Amino acid sequence: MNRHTLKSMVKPLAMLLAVLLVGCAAPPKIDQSAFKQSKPGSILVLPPINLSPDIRGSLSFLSTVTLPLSEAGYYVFPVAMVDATFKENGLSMPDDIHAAPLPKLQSIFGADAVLYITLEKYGSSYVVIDSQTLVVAKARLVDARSGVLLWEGKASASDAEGRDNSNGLLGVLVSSVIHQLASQVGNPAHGISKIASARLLSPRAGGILHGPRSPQHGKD
Amino acid sequence: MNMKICGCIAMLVLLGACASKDNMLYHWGSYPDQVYEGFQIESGNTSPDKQLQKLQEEQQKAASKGKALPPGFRAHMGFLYFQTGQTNQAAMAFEDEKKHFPESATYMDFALNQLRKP
Repeated sequence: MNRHTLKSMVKPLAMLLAVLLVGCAAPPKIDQSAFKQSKPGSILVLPPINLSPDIRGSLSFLSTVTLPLSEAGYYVFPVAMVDATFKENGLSMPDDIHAAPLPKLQSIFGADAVLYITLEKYGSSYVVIDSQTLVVAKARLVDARSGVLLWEGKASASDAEGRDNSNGLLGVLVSSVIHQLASQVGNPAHGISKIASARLLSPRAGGILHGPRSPQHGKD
Repeated sequence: MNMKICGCIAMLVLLGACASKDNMLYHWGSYPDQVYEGFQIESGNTSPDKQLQKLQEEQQKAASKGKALPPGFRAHMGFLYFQTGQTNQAAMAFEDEKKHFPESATYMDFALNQLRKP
């Protein structure tokens, strides 16, 4: 089946789904009209600003964003190469990178949208009986040409929470991460980052919309 | 019954059949972990050469499963080729990224220009 026949079938399918869903859907609380209008196809993820004391946080979290965003249907610029490009141009601190003017970013990357992430918490805290590894991140997606805010969100993950996620991509990620945690002695916060990142950047109600490379595109 | 409705039903049946299988758009393998480890190259646990070898293995796995390589995978290989001094391979990888993901064209052209600088 080629792209065109697929495309021509998407609309009637979306309409059918809309009719089916209309009865039970709650009214949307978040206005996503700017996001829908902007229709970004590619996302430039900047190295996250890290407010935690663990200096590994920024690049650890950065390496977890490509999977959920790509699976959501976006082109994601190669994060390590992008980080190197900034460093070559004298921008090694995420704060400086986040302050870079959009036209400058546009001229190098040609992205449709830019994702600004701030890590509020990253790492382990030790309490009397047990330790907890916690990652909290917030993100803002901005139209790379107009600077208009398209979406913002926040998510967290912790190894102390119940392991009852069983649905879809998140479920797969969570179970694989738990398997890995057993062997990944080095930095447990990196495994937790994968879950936080998938929660933050996977399409859901009020979350980012599906991008053009997803079969769900336009149906959010 | 008109064609559109037929199409919808066919689509729903297809979607239902797909849902139970691996519904990821791309083959990921160890790629995200390679990127993470690449950020800690100074730890001495890995090197661009080792990473290239692992990514080539993932490339073969993707091909044997008939799955697409994710956005940035080829560009990242180009970046590793560049780090190991294999400039021609790097240029080919950047061109390849551009071919598979036209969204990357501006950045890949920027990278290709950097490569051509003496």
